[in-house]
Amino acid sequence: MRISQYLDKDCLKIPLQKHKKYEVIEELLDLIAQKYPEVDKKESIQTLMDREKIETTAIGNYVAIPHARMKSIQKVYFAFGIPEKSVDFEALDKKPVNLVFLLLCPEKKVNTQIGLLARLSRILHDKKLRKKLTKCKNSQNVIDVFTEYENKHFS
Amino acid sequence: MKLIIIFLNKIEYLDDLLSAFLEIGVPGATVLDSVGMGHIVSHDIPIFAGLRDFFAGSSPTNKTILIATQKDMISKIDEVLKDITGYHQKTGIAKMISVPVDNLFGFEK
Repeated sequence: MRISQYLDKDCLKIPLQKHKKYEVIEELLDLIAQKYPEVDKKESIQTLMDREKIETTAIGNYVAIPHARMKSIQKVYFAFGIPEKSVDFEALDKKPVNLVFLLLCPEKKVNTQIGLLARLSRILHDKKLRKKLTKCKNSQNVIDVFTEYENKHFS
Repeated sequence: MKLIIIFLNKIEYLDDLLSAFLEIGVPGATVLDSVGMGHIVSHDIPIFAGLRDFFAGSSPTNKTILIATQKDMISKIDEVLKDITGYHQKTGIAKMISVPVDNLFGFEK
């Protein structure tokens, strides 16, 4: 399972314009909803907010992965953005967030969701990768960074 | 010689199980407190908190029972476990595996 295979140029945005947690989530969701009209934005935002209420998706080290599992979608949708300014995501380590990944998974594909969350949260412990990502200027840079990283670390 | 490993999710059966093991001649066992991975993942790692419903069957308190025994005891232990817990009929109660033991040290001759 490779993150790079889920990256869609049109769903990567640098910089994100919003500065508040829920606005940033919505801005990323807009990228998905604009390209994929089958994604119900209202349902998505509600599910994402419900998930945030359980516990923050800011995993520490300036990274957040808001995510949701939904009955109405049939495939995985993935978006990523770098906010113009760091965003308070109510992270457990209190650090503001400057890398935000948004993940929508079909209700039935729990294992895919677990795999993607596990892969993302694990590789983003790597300070060098985070540094490379924060330096990305455009969508293609992000795809290149992930592709290079996964080629190097995963067969 | 075999090592039997029983993962007991329904710990309310533990006392009856150990008594029954003594009855059938199991001279000793090691009982460990254990926790299912799903429980730890969904409760201790915040990014997986949304999966608590998915891991709902993962108990916070399991017991893992280790028994080093002769091969002919495997079926007896399985019978006892089956009689007491009904684990063959329903998942989530217990699991049992046996693995070969190459060497024994520190055991009574």
